[in-house]
Amino acid sequence: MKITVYGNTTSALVTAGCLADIGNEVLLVTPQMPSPPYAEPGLRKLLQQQQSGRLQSTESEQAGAQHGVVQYLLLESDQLQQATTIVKQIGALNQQGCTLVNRTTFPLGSSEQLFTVLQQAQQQADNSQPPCRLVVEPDFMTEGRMIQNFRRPDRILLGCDDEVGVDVMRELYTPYNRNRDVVMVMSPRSAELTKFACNAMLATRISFMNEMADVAEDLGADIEEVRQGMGSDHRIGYDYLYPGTGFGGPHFARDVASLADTVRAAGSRGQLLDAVLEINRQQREVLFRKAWRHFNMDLQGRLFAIWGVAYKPGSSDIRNAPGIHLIKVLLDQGAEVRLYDPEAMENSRNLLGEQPGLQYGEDAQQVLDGADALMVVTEWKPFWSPDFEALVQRMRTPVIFDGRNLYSPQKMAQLGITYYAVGRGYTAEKI
Amino acid sequence: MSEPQRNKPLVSSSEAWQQLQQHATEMASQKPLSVLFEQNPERFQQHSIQLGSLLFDYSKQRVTTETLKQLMALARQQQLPEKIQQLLQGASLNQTEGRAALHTALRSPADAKIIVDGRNVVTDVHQVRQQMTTFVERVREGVWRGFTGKRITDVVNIGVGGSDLGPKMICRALRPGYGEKEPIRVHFISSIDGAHAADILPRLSPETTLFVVSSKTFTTTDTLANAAAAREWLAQASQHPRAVAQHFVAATADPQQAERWGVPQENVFPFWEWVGGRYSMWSSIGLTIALYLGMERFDALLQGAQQIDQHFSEAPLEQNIPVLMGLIGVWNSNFLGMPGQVVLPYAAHLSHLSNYLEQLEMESLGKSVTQQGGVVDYDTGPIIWGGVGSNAQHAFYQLLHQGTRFAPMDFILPIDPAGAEAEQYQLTIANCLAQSRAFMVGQQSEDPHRLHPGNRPSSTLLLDALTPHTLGMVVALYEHKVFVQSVIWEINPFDQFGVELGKKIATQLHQHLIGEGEAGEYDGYDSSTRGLLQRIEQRGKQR
Repeated sequence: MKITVYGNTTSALVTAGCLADIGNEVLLVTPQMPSPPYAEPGLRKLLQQQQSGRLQSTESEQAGAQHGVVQYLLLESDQLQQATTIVKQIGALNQQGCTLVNRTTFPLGSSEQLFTVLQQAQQQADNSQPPCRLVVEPDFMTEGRMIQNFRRPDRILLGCDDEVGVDVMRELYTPYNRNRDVVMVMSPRSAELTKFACNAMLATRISFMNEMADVAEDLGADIEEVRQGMGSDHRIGYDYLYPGTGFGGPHFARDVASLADTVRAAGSRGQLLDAVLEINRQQREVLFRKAWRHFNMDLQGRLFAIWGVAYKPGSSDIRNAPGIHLIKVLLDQGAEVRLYDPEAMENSRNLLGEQPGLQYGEDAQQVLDGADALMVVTEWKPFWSPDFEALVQRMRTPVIFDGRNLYSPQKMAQLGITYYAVGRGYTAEKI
Repeated sequence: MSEPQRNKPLVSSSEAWQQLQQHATEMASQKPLSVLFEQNPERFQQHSIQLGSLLFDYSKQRVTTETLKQLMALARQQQLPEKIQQLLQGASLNQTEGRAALHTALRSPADAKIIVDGRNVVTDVHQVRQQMTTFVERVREGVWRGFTGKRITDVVNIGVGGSDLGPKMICRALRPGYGEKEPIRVHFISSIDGAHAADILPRLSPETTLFVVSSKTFTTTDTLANAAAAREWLAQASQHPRAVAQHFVAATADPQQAERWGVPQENVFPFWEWVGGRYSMWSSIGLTIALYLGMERFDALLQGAQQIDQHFSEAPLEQNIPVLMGLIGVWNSNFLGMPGQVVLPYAAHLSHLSNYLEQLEMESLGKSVTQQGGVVDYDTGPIIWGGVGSNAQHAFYQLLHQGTRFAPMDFILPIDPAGAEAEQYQLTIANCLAQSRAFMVGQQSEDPHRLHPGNRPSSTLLLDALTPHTLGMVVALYEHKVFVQSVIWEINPFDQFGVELGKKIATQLHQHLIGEGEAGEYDGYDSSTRGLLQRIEQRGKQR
């Protein structure tokens, strides 16, 4: 099948690469052929294999509009304006009665608006083209596992009111839908809302656990024990039950905020989502607040070692990462910050630049030298089991603020480390 | 004070005053305002002044060119031009307390020079402004943190009188910049009975609340009682010795007193003896305003006032808005016999303006002796009241339209609506203009109940919009108007000895009420006070 994919997001590259891999002629429309922006496993190899053959790229939106019988929008979610330009071109130039597939998380209702724009452009062109169809296919791929997600999806959710459109997509996805039929069909509007609702649900679980962590601290309970007890209930399950420094990343928080806005604009009461977001705003500063109390409201001149900046392990993405906010508030108080992240050093440098009090460390050990405290922000594997004796040696005072609950409070106590985790009944003396 | 000075002839016996009295008698039998308008199509042009974004229209006042000429003669006889310069340059015009009144220095540009006791006070002013700027930005940007490390969401202003009315009036009138997502909320605690604190504190969280304790002397009973209650409220949440430092700042002319109370030096925002309480919102007393609006808007407020200072200093008397406001007030009060003055903003956000002006005018001009101590034989400050005009129409306007007593009115109207409801706002404009016209033209009627006598004077201050700048202009206009009138009446607008006797007696009574008074101390009191105390004690025993 001839496929056009618009965008230079990782999702666009994965989609283009995978579809070419199963025999489609894919034209990727992108301003420039990007090197994979975020260390997505397997992506570089996939693209190298396909680029010479069935995967071609172009800067020309016109060429893209003419090429595909299926036209994928895989842009950034703030590129609705570009999407509008693209669908106008498709309406004017595509002669094949194409299927427009929107996989970009635009604000609710955008897919149908875009399709209307496409249809209007088609009418204006007035060259008696066959009708096009709209499919909303929410993108559920998670960073770090995207290729696997694309090839072996838990479900293929198609928001489409048109039988032909559904048939086209079923045919295209046949290689991924062999084991059992995972295609679900619903209306475009429901498909859009499903995507937002999933994110909102996951965010709600995280904020809920963060609130429980707060309660656990007040009551002297250990949220890690509570979490396992909860997860063992099959109605609840273990996923997305981790308290910590709040959710972040390029899309997640923004999607939930966007849904909260939509709910408000629709005149409904979005109280729960507002609370979820507010808890998360507070949670981003949970380590700061613990340090603020530990150091008696005075962080001037204190040196903080930071382990991890990326919003999650396995990623170099620091967009909207809790660690970035944490570094800013520490610097605001006149503290010094020395940060280390296995993958995100370059992105951190680009975003934060040179600032008074901010140092970029060489490795996980070096950042500890002379530090007043260590803050664990991202649960990268090398941080799980460090050499604690060396750590105590290197630091000026052995204090750990652990935003990921990686260590055992008992062991920390034995080692003489002052240990603050999230919700583990061990808090700074109330001040 | 020597007798000859005290016996100095009063202004009422001066030639200019006598002539005005004569003129007023003639005017009484003359044409009403409506006829003056009919006969002179230029009356508005001749009797209105546009100054930047503010228009002052006094054509609906009962004055003629001759009246104004004579009022100017009175002003010159009283050396008003010289007095204005003395005020602005920091002469010791507050004679009873032996000091200058330099609220104008608080809004002077940084390169100005005003020397008091050999010191350029403008330097001090800008130093404190810098201290405010740094602090305000830290709080508003969330750098300043409460004891648990959370940012400040609420500011509570604890103060009374000038430390309350000015900041409250401004914060009710203006809004932080649009697009500011989570503006800081402001609250005001002033009442000595603790009711404000009881209303406000339970709704706030100690970890995110900042208190601004404002008191010139830092000994004001009302304010210190409320500040102590606030500190107690904070202590219930945190006993940490640094908590008070993170949650209390002070604006005062006695920094040591504030430090003794527990505010660390770096959190004390000073002002000076030469700033009177009711003239103090331009100083660090405006800290709450700046925290709410942001420093940029606070500066714009000061710049608006500064524009009026400059106008007051430079414009000829005949074109000088505060001079005209002051002299017309004298004319209405002393020569037309009107006992009051009404302030009627047609803007809901100016709901606290009349409260503010009540203090500014009545505390300044409520005097019966001249600076030299002579007893006046003419009326001084009028009784001021007011309210949002469109609401007051449904309240006290009846008396103004048809009552036997009457007070001249100041209408204040912003042209641009405060909200987005431009269409609805036209109703406000229509009502404001309708009222000033109705008071002026009146209405003939066969039915005496429907007769409007008319000829009732007013001025209108028309603002392009209600902004920090125009509001700064309005407040400064009234400050200078008060000064003009004090010069004509030869009284000191900067002292307020009248407030002290009550405080003194209250201190004695309080001792008695809490059981620390000396036995028999109150036997000398009148039977009313004793009777009231008796009933109060009875009630106390019943509880």
